[in-house]
Amino acid sequence: MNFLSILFLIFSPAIVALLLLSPIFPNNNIKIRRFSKGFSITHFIYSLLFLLYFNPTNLGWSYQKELTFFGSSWINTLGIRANFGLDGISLVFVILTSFITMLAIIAGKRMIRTKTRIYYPLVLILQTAVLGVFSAKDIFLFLFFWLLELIPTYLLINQWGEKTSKSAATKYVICSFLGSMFLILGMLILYFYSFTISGVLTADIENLSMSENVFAMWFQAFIFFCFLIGFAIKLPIVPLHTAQFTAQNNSIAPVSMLLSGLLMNMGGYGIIRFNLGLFPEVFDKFAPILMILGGINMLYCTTLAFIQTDIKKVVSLYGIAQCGLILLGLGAMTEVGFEGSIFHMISRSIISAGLFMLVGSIYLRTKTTQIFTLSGLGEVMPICKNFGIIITLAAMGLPFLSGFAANFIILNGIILSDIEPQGFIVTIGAISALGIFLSAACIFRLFNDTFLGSVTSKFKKLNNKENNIVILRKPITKTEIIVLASLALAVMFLGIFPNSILDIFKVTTDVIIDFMKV
Amino acid sequence: MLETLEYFANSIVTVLFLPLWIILVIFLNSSMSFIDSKKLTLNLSLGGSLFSIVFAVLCILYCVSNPAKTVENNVLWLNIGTPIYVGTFIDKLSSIMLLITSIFMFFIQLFTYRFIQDDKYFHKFYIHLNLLAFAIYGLILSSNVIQSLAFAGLIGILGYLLMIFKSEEITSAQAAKQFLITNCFGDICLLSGSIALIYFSAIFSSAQNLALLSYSGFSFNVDTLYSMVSEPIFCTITLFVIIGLMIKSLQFPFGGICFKNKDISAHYFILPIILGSVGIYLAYRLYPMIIISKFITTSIVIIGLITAFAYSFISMSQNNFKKILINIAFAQIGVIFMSLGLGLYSSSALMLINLLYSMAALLLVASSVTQAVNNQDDIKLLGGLRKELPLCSGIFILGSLSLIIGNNLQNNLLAKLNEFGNDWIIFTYLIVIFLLVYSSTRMYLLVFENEKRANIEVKKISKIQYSAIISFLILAISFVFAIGNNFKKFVYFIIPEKTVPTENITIILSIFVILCASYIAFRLYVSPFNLFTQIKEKILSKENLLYKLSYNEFYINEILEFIGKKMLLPVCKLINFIEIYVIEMCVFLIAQTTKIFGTTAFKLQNGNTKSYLAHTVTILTLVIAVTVLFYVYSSLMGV
Repeated sequence: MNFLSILFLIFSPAIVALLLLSPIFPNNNIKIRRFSKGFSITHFIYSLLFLLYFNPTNLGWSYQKELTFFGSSWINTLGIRANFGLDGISLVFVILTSFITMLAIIAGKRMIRTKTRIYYPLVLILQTAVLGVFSAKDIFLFLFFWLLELIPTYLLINQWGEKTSKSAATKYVICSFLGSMFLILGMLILYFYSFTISGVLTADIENLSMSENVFAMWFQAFIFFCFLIGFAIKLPIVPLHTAQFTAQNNSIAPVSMLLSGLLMNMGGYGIIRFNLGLFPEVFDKFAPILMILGGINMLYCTTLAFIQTDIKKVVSLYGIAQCGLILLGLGAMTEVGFEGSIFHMISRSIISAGLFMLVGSIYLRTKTTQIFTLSGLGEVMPICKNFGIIITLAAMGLPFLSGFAANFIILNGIILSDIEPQGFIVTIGAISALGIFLSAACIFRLFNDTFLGSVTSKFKKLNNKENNIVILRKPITKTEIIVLASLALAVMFLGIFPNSILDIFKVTTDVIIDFMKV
Repeated sequence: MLETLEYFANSIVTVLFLPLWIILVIFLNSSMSFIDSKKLTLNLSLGGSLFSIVFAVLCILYCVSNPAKTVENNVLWLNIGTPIYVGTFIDKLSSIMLLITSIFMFFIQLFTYRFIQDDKYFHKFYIHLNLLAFAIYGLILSSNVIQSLAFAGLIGILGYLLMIFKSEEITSAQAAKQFLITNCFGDICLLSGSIALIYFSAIFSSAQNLALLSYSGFSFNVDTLYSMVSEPIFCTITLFVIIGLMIKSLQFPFGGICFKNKDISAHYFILPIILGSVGIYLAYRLYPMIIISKFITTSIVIIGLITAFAYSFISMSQNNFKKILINIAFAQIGVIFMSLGLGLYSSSALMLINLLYSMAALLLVASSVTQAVNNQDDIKLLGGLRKELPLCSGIFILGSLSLIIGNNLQNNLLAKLNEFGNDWIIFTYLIVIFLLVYSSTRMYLLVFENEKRANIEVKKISKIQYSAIISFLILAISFVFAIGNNFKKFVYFIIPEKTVPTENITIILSIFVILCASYIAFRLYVSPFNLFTQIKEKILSKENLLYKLSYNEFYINEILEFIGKKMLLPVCKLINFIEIYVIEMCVFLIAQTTKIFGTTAFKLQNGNTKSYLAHTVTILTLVIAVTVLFYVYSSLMGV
């Protein structure tokens, strides 16, 4: 077990990225790609070892390690330390990060044809930033990685996207930065006021707390909303969704996979770790508001998705709508709802990544994402269609796939909620059911209109062996099969054995909920 | 002996997972070009079904020798506070239904071989059939409501996959979309009903709320809950379940959603019957819930009767051989649903089995006839086929009779209708019988009697096709006459079904209606009474309201169009407006304001010291002026 180093897990992607960017590494696209791919697969296997040796019954943090600089802490005088650790919740997100990054790197083979030398290092730096967010035990360390993520994300959206990707990248970074300002404000107030109570300068998440006995509720609520705004831009919550939505639409498929599969989880994780973990009393008071926001998120985004003609927009709106369900589960203030939300985050990430991959494969061959111009692609891309069926059905929440288990657990969590009045819970339950149905209908419309029906004559050429363009000749490449098959297997595994994932973070969620109830 | 039987009953999970292993072997078989044996695929599938038949027989023997005992084996699926188990549950109903469906699957796999052996999708089709077998066995052997719903959902997905089997047709894609979305809505209704049950049980008893949904003791749990909650609440929960069951068992107007595609070969038409039967089986499992309140039972009777009436009425306007049969099947499913509402648990099970076998025989007749006449399925263009296909015409009459006698003239059904005491319901039911008999007779006369109306060459039908049809027919008739009487003693009664003495007048009336319908059909469709036919055709002409009413797609299309275009679309447009003109505009305004400030600041930075001084003086003057004005104003106000 000693060979499992959390520091190596977090920083190795960044080190590899620097190596790839350095002049000592050969300037050969194939070598860079293969090296990155090999590393990301090894990293994923390494992260799985953390799961293998993880004790789910452990109440606290595991694999704790502090990064010291010549024997001293990061900013010792201010009590800020580069302390890392994993609990049940962060561990599943770490593995998910490693998994999605691996797939984004594999998918890059066909989809990234230019500037290969910087694509892979940027993805690896992004991986380090996201892993840092999930494993940081210090609020300023969290903030450091939170902001670090903006740099590679900006470049990834900017360099490989569509025509409007530059403005989308700027919008994303500015909005995220604006959210981060609220986050910094909240963190500084929390940090200094915590010092006034305890007399100890510390930024450790475990040692920070706000009690109703010491601070007025309105003051706590102010800090709570500072954090919430910061995370709401990333999760995202309507009406702060616009940056995330635009960024996903204008990025290339592997980048959209990363945005939807990794970065959106950071928002959810932040709400759990800070809003729920540090302000239990405020969270308890504002839980109904979170549920209302969740309901609005679901209905707003699904109805908006219905009118879209771009399949990429439908997919990104689907992902944002599902975040509403996550908020509903968290707002229910029950163990079941809480577990369901985390499970749903994992499930949604995999499904969204799969849907973006499908959209990317379609775009690569047809050069369009307009739903009206696409029809009957199942005929020319049959394997893609088969994977599409599995991922779409999972997105719809049908049985034996991850979406069903996630929806079922969250709905159970909502109806078991103690929030008064009961009529509110019943209404929210009904809204959730309606939202699930509408999002299922809109994502299904996408699959049906794209893959079924009769194929238009210009797309029939996809199967034409005489086509001179190599990339268009194949209906699907091995790389795409690997990525889509991995995602399809993941949704099937989570659907059939949901308990295998729930058991990992069950103790951690129980501790947080018990703490809230106390 | 008993221990051996118990061992087999405990190992029933092998039956469930065997189709999955077969799928794996078929997949490998089709992938490896050096094997690629179609015979291997067929034999494996048949072997799987035979294995299930043997296990089902052993389970039945176990249940007979141990009448009070059920076998349940569970594993943990999900632990969310209270554990949710999945597993197998064997009682008499599940073992007999396992036998029936295994035999059904066996014959389907055997006889579709000939139709599909030259198709490039051969292996894919058998993979679908085995998946369907897995889902159906899973539903039958489910140990709790959630598991049943999961498998019913899976059957819905497989139905969808079967509909998009050849996905080139736009109509097929549209039909499949409608089907899956409607089916999904049904799943959500059923799931909401089940979750509502958990919710109310959680209110009244803090623990074991999910155990409520387990079939062992489901009846008792539902009774307990009913005694605790008020009737309106219980009825509301059950209404969700009823809506779900309506969609799942293809009650009116949902029947039309699953056979709109143009490709109407036999296997597509087996699908609606299987789907309808799945819904009815779910209703059997949720029977304790739906039988508990008078309001709910009355609703079920009315829904079933409306379905029976609507589809028998619709079948009159159809000219496609198979579509008429499917509408008749839907009408019969409505009758079965109605009989469930009347409390006829075991009689309706018998009716379902009869429907499965009779309809399979009739659909195979229809398939064979259309194949023999060069895929012509418009009955207006057929005629006089009795001489060339005598066996088919005989089987058709026997199959239709078995269906009418076995289902519509059930003693208990007629007696319970009498007992229900509503003349309108009896009257409507008699009309249903009339319409069903009329449609069947009309179809028979137009296809088999009179002279040929088009110059079509008739091919011979192979022995294997005949043997398929006859097998199903024998099964149907044997269930009606031989097993029928003993069946009631055999099936496990959740609520015992009393045999009600039948009043002769109802039977006489029914027979009179049947004779009338046959007579009118004869008068209209056997020459030389073509005048009546012309009048009838005029009444049912496409411009006529009656035609629209008797046209199945009218209902579902109108409803979906209303929901989609009139309700959902305006909301979508409004949201889109907010997104573009409110949210995006806010972001744009913020960006523009920032830009203006930036530009102004840039212009101010011209590097000239005098300018900076001038700006400073201007700002200071402004500040001083505002301060002075404010001071003067407050002083004046003070005075």
